[in-house]
Amino acid sequence: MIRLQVQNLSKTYRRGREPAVKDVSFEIPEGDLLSLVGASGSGKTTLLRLIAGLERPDAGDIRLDARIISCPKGVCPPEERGIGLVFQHQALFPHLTVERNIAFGLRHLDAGERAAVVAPLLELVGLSHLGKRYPHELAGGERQRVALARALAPSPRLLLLDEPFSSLDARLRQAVRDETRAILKARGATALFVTHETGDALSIADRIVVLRQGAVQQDGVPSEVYYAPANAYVASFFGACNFLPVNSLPHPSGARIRCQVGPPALSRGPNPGGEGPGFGIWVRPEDLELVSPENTGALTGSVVKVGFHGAYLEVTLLCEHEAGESFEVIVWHHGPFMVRPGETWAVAPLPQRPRPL
Amino acid sequence: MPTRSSRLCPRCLARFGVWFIAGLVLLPVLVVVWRALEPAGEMWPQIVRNRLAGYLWQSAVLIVGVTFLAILFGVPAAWHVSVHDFPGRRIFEWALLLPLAMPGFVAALAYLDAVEGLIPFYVWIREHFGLEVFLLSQKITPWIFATGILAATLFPYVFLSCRGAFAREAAGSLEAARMLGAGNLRTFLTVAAPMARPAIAAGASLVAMETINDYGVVSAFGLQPLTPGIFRAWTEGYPGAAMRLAVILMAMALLFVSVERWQRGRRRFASDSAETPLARRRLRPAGALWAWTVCLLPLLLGFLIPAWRMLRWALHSPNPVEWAEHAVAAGNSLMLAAGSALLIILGAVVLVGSRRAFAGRSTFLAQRMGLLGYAFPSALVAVGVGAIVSTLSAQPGLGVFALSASVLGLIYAYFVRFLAVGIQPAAAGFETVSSSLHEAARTLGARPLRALLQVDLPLVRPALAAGATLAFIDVFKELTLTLVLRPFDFETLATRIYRLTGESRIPDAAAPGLFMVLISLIGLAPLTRLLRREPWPALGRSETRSRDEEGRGSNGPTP
Repeated sequence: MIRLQVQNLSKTYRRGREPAVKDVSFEIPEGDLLSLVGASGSGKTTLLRLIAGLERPDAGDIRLDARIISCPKGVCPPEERGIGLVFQHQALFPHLTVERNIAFGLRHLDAGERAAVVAPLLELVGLSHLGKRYPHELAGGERQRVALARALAPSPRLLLLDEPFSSLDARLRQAVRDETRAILKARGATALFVTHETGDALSIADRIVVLRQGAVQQDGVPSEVYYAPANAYVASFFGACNFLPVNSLPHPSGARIRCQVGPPALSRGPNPGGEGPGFGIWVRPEDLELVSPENTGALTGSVVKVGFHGAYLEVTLLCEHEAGESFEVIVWHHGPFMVRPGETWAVAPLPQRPRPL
Repeated sequence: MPTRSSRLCPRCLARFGVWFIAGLVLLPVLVVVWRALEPAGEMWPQIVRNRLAGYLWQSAVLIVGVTFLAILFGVPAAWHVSVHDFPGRRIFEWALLLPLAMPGFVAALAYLDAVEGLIPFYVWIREHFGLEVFLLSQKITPWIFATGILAATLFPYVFLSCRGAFAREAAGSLEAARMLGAGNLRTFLTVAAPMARPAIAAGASLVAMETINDYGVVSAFGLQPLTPGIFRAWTEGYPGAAMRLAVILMAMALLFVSVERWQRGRRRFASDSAETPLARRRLRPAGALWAWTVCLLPLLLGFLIPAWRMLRWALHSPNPVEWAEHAVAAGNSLMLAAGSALLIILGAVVLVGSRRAFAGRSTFLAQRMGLLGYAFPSALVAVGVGAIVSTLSAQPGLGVFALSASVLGLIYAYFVRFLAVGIQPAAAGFETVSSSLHEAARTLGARPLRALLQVDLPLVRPALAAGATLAFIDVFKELTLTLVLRPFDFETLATRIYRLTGESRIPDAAAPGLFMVLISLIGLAPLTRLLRREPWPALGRSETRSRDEEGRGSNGPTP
């Protein structure tokens, strides 16, 4: 069953300006967790506000359980949609206790029923002992959980999360996002969350929609988006990625590389292979290794830069194309030997590793 | 189709409310402009021929003189208090705001008899320089007094805006200038003063606005700029002429308001606020003495001397007969001020709150129009509301309400004139409360009104209280409007002080004057708190700015 359906949605804030959202379509099945990913200015927050009913679209429509809730002719006001929203900075009511924050959306219930909803929620988010506190007395991660509980309390048909982890520091972040996914799955909630952190999206989403300048670039499961990017933008947005021109490979051992030559990676999207001339393949730097240049059949190049990243060395090589053009290849080098700028090394694909497809 | 609430559409209701208020504010001005376009009668050519030039040049001289002197008082004091450290600095920091509590016409009362003290000086001039210089000096004296009194009571506007500029916005550059080896004076002249120029201009235009609004001081010293001219035409029974003069006055006011807004806008872009407060430079004794002089002089002139003199009169000449009348007048003032402040803050909440709940061009415009009231000079509002009231009470059947109509008219005029005083703190308060709190309430199923009442209003309550207090004080000490619109035999404290001063019963006016200063002092408390208040622990603030869609309509500067 499709919970949310967005069709050909467009929104322009000021006449004459670039649209913030243009012709966006996607859907979320019931119980799924979808992530909208994009750089800042990509229109993801606008899309979220459109779905929440805080903005009115210029074109297209939004359906919740097959019923239209937004279209250019009219917008069902946010308070009547049954859509919950977790704000970027939580937006907890500072003058209300944690319990009363969570109970804010339960006005249709009497006091007893309200307590019956709030208590289990507090327990679910692990804050039963903090119900009487005020938001400013809580730590960042705790506030995030209160915001989640508050949005879940009225049992929304869809939960929206706006950069939910961006206000948390790196160490807390991972714990909170795993927790959030667990809580959402425990409630069987259908959720959409917006983020510019690819790590968040890859690790907790069931499905990812990548936005750029208001338009959808790719819509797929996390591993698909990561390993089979639809275009150069998606490829580089999810981390360093090498574009290897097809004819640059000395022999067709490319078959061993997961991002295959030709189909299926290159057949998707309107601009196969991205901006590079001719065809090629996308290879993540962690899927390559450095081998001795005597190794026949490997791509050779001279090292121009070596960066220390803790778990690995990021080695940039300048490789030469058959036609004489040169291009850079980045390799995350885990090997036991040292690499220095100026040396010549060859690049080879790693044996395929397990992927959660 | 999306479902729509079948109840009365709250958005339509809000839109009606804001436009109703905006209409109330604009109505008197529209009336004045409309009437000014009608034929003005035979008196108008005479006024133009005989008086207009005098009104204009007197206004111009007064504005230039007061503004210049206020800058002279305000800027150096702000400079020393913000960037230096010397004994007593912390006291001066707030004490230099005290003159704001001293209405010009009250200060004038305390200085009026000093003119008589100058007689030996005149005699001396007469003997040494001859008749012409003597006459000239007698002509100039009231100008010096009026200019000095207005400047000494109004300079805190310049002081306030410059202090902010020096302490916050320019702090980084000032430190850089010092690190590059610039001395004290050079830093002031080459870095601080140019950077503070928008702030100075903004403060100075407020001073100019207040100067053209003044009636009490200029009339106490017998000067005839535009505002008393409008009064004269009005009381002599030439409303058409009064309205034409009022339109000229409004043009001047709009000029100052636009200068202020333009410069304030520039200041917003220039501001590169320093994270850490400026490290103050400790002054050596000689420098400290100079700083003391610069800070103490305006304070003495604008507050301490008049307050001291009034205190002495009030203590030494108790006149029990007067007290009953003082009390009646004070009662009237308090009642009017409380009623108007309540209405003003209600209006401000409707304007600002609708904007929060239904962001849109129309609510934004309406709020802007509410703010316009402050740009309308008192004399303009006075004749506008006066015309409305007289038209209404001339209707058959309404005559019996004449008295209550004019009290209501008075409150209406205060509402028009001081609505902005309520809107500004309210809007500032709403700005510190992130709009996502309201949106959060809405997504949790709260209707707009409930979201406003349960989420926004509790959080902006301190700001609303501050706005109400400021409006209360402004109404309490209002003289110009009140003189025109008050019903016959109805006195407020301000008009009573003004009348007693006019009748040369200065010692009798001292006690009510002092009372008025005391009440106004209460108004300074929220003002100073407003400047450094942190509303709630840093929660949910500032995210309105960090949304990643730059195309969103910005909130716009709130003056």
